[in-house]
Amino acid sequence: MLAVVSFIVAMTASAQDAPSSDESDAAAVTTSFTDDLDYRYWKRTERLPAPFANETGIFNYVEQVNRFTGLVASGPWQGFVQVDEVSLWANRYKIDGEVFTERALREPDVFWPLPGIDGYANLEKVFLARESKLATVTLGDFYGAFGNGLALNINRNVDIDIDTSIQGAKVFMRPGAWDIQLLAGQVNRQQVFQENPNLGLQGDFRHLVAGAAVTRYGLGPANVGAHGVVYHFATESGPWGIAERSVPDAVVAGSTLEVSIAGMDWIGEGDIYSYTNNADGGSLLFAGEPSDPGYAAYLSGTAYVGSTTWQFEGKRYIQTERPNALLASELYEIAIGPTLEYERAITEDSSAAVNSNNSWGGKVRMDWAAVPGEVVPYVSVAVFRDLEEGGLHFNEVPETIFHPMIGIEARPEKFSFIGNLGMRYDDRDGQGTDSERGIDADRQLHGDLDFKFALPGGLRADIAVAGEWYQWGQNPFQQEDYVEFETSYTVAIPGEKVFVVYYMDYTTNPLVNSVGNLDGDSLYGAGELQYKVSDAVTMKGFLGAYKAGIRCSGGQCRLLPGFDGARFSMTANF
Amino acid sequence: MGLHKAMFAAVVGLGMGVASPAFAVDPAPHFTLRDLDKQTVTLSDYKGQVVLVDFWAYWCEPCKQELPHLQRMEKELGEQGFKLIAISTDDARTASQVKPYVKRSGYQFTVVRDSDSSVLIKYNPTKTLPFAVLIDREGNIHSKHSGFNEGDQVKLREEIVELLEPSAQPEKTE
Repeated sequence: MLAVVSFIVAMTASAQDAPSSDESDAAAVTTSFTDDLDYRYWKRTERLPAPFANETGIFNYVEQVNRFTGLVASGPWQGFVQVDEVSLWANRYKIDGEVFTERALREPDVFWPLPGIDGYANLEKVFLARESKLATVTLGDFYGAFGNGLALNINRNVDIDIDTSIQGAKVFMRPGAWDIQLLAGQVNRQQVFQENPNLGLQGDFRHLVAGAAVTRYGLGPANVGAHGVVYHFATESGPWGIAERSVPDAVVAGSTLEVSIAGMDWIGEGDIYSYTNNADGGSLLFAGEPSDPGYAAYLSGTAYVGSTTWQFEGKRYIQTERPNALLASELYEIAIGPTLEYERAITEDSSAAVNSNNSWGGKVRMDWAAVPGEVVPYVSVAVFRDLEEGGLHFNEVPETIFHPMIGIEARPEKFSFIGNLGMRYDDRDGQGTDSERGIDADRQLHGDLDFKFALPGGLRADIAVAGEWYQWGQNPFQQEDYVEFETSYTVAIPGEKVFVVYYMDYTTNPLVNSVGNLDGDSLYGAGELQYKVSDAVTMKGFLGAYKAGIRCSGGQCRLLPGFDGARFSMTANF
Repeated sequence: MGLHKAMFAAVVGLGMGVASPAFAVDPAPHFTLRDLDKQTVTLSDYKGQVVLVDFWAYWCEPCKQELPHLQRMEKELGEQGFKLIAISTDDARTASQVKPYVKRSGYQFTVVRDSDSSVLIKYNPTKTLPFAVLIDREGNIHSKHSGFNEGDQVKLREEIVELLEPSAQPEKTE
């Protein structure tokens, strides 16, 4: 950390002479900082046993989280650091003079030099890069993606708190009509959560990744690419987690094709997955069972017919989720291809189908520019077969998924409206009275809208609603049907510096592990005040509760906990 | 706790010092990406123009509400030296959705893809979307704009016009 600060000071000091002429690009230094400071007061429902059961609030605590990023750039050189920090307060209680700690912030394998303090700071990301038209060379933390993500897809994902990078070296060359990527390193998972409670922070599992990708553009109407990735997974945290095995666990090789013909745009990708077995004949990625090879095929075609756009997508994936097999406990995925799903309506059941190791399907979507640039409705239909059974799947037999949707994007002058409505039908094989289990289909009706409009007095309003009704068929995890919705109502004060937001959530889903603060059961309410101090600084105050639930971003879904308490945050970008 | 607070304060102070009037230039970090026709787009090629770099995503609703306004600005001010570069932060998984969306929306501005977040982390590490960075003719960052609400486009247009030729167009309401 001191070395990084010294680097920043040195870079800045060397640029104190004001740049004067044509050397300005080489001499001038850009510095850019962001800071995200958050204080959260968590209200907990845990209670001590008798005779202290009436002592409410004992397990409430304060969590302070901060993320600082700094970029220093001079000419072609760029240096970046990210420091994440967390501390817990009011994390103790006393009984008869003996102090008890309510929760452990860190696992024993996480180094922290001040064991008596509930805190942790981590130099989470750092890189040095040299950027030019022809090539970018990066040492340190970077992200990587090949083709459509089926072989490798790691991006900055701060939306659902699972930002994972690769720490090593990457070269990206762009000579003329070619892109050439070479990368190698160890996986660096985000440790300090910005949105979720920090408990039991773990050390990193140093999975190794190495890959190469080559793309040739402009071969007639086509762009052609090839890529390969090698994975070697660690089974324990720390630098020696992979020492026991000398061969990679998975090798993925594939090719991509993009071509525009007769007004249609086509994108295709095919990948082959090879997995190795250990000396005992089992594969780490197959839970100790012998491995099977895998393959992936993806195709997308888009036609522009008058005022309509037609997009066709198809997929066939077998054993393509195995590179992610060991990463579930670390809450991220490393290879994520197109799912063809509507991810705002993902449930526990449908996320299992999305992550299936044996699936195929297709989707057709038609958009119609009814009023070009202003009103564009659409309709889509998707059909999938999920042939994987058991495990986290809620079905012990294959199932067919049918998912039609309609929607509209409307942006005339006075308001903006975006809405989607769909019905998902998961039909398990063997349905009907003849089957021994009476297996039936799951049904999900879902919808969401975002409506922005002006109010009298120069005020502006934004209403966002998402809801679903879910009916379970018969399944081994027999759950209860449920209804849930999430809403937010925002009013912007004239001048756009102050925003007042009211949130209301409702759920009867028994799988949601949170309790409503408005009725002690299903109904959640909260208020938030946002003040934009300047373009660079925004402050927010939040009071109330929101429900737990699945959120998806970048093809990855997480079951996020709910929140009940108060929050204050300040974001600065300067 | 005290040590890292002190370090943070030191870096903040350093940044504030660097941003002081005595050191006002803030060159935009270099980048090169490919557009939807696979041609390379390098930021430094637009030195001499006023450039708006806008980060957006196919799934981002406020982004979709902002883009039509930016298109209108480029049509109106393009000949005066204004250039819009819209950086799609959609990852490789949704790559096939970006071009159809841009084409059916009739957008004619330059769209580039940052599928491995290499530019995002330099300009917008908090991944706020939409996020716009306004760059002057000398290649220096003039301002940053986080999020979008109806009406934001008016202030943004004013800033762009101010950076363009002094004899700017009359103010246009939308």
